[in-house]
Amino acid sequence: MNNKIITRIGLLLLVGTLSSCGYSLRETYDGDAYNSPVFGENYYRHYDASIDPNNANNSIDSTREVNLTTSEQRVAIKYEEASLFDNAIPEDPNDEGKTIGGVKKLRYLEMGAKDDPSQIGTVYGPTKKMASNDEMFSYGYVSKLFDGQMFCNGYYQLSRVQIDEGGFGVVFEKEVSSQAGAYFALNFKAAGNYINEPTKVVAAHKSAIVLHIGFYLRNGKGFDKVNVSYQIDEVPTNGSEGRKGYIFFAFKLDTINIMRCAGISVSYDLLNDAEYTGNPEIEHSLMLYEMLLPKTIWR
Amino acid sequence: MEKTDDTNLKTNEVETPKKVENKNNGPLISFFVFELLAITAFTLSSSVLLYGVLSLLSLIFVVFFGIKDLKVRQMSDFFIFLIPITIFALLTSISKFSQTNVAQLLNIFSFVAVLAFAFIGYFSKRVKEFKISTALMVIYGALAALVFISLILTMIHYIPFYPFIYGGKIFYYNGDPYPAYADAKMLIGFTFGDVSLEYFSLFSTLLFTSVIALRFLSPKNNKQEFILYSIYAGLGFISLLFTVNIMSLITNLFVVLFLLFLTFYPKKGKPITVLRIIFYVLLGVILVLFILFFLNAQSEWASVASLQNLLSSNHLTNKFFNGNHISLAIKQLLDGSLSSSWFNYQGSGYSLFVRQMFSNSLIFDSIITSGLLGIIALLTFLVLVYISLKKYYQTTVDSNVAKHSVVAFVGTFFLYSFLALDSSPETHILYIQPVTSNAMFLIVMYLIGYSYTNRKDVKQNEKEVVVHEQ
Repeated sequence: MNNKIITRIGLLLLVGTLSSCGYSLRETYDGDAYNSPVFGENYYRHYDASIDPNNANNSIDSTREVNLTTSEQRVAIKYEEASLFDNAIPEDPNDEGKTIGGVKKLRYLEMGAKDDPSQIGTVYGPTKKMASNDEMFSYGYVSKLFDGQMFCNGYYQLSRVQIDEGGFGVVFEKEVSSQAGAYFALNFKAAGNYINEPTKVVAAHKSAIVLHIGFYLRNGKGFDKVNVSYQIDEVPTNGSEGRKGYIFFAFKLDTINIMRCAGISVSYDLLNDAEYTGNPEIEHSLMLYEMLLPKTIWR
Repeated sequence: MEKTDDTNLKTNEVETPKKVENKNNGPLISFFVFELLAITAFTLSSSVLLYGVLSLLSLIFVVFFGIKDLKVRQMSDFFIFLIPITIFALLTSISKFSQTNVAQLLNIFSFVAVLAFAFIGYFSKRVKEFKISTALMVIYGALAALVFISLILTMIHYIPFYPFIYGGKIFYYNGDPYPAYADAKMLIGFTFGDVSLEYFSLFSTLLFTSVIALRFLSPKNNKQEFILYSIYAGLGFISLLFTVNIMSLITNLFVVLFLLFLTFYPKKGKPITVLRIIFYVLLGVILVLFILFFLNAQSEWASVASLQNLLSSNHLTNKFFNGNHISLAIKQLLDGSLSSSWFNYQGSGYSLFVRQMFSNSLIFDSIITSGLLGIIALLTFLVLVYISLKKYYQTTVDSNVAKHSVVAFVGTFFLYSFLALDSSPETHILYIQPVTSNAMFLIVMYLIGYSYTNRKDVKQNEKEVVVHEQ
């Protein structure tokens, strides 16, 4: 052992320390973030600056609109009113509503069930989750959308991302390098609340929304946005916690190019709601549970 | 077993009457033992199966090829010495709460490993070519490699002093909130995993015990050893510094105090006397605390209500006995455990929330995994270890470096275990790692086996000292 070796070890340690990038600490929160008993305090409204529509200096160079409501691109959408969400999820959105061999089923997952190794490979969420696609999806608040937990039993404040019409948008380190056979899927439900009367429960009803999914494709310095929209006329909307009223919404990406996509946003427009429209006393939100991009490769 | 003085390594070559002459197999046996120690100290995913099989094979190899005149009768004392830990390890390995990362039935290998490591330690001492100083170097070396890789990895994901800077902050991982100040990254087998800071600090804390050796090594006469031990201790210190952990600081405070005593009271006998006083004072304090914890936890004993009120009326005592995670867990444990005559934990069994049941204190968590019989066995074993280590420390002919390192390593492990031995080390994966499948515990068992000293050994050691002095 000579001084050179010691110097090298010391330098290695120094370099390691200096290269500390605080990967886990990039997004930290005080205590129970977005887990307030006050409904209005749980909205996740974060947009990364480069794709923030309210930021005049954002890096969005162009926007292309894709309206799925009027296009020939078929959309798979499943409503679930029952307490157990046990219907088949079509692997191919063109097989809307079909049960495929009884295999590819969404199973109701209890809180924390994703930790159970016996579930791996047997259920839709844990096998298709984005966190399995790349480690970067495991970090940050939106990792709630990438953890494979499609829905849960009443403890939804621990797993949901609650948005208002403005939604949220995040940019990732890596970008889509392959989208062969890929599709986009989102599991969500709608909820409402009386702003000044939190104990008053809104009756279950249907509302109409236009859902916007933004894909931000890198073009060198900035982004080209592809805004995919789809109108859903009958979104089950509840005024209390529960397992009812989930929507599984999916569309194929064969005609929509998301190559070099490095960011995603979700927002919506509330079109019509018998209870909410025009009433400033009540607020409408979407509870997002899981977002999936199966078969995409990120590099 | 070495007959060296720290300033004269040449005396290693002096033959001892107790050593077994085995010119062919000795070096090979030593090599195998070193390999086993290196693999274990590097943890390799704390695989119960791996440790069990490897240690058993190594034991067979050592016994059949390393020990020529094996006399079981002479080992009767050692067998008796191991009875308590045998009971404890057996109960722990078959416990329904020992949900390791292997099938329940395979947990029995952790029991096998505990005993095998102790026996390997016992036998390796009797192999002539075996040197404990080399074994310690190997243990610390593997530990240093593990800590180095894990520290770099942790610093990539976090920043230096993050537990201090990010106190109270959380971050999200796979949708769940985690305290940013209580997590660390670590090499687990051949993958990188997320572990609790308390688990991570166990390795840094034990590595830092190598600082004791520096007291007895001369930079001039033992240059190579001095540099190596400096690196080990330095790495341990940097790791502890960058990942500030209060339990590590408390544990290492004792290591530093031990070092200071050795430095400022170098005359034979004085350090022992002072340490003995400290030991008994601490023991008394722990006993009083235990009684208070015990009484404070009894929710159905109306006769102790006034004591409980007294403890909860003061802010400090309330926080200590009722208000923090550790005391709450201990309280829950002691209250829930005593309703059964066998002192077994009356919890609802293995569940998603089982992690919260554990107090991260070896003594109290043993109530869950091994019941009353187990905890009595463990405490008995600790008393026997203390007596054996004391005899070893006072009479061994091993070098100062070796004997102080052995004592510091074993002592530090148990001290840290009482404060913060995490039973569920991986934060994102749920399983319970009982102490018997903890790699560092196996290393400690090896050192306990090696340092085992009874009355006969004391006399033998005294003879060897006389021979050596002549």
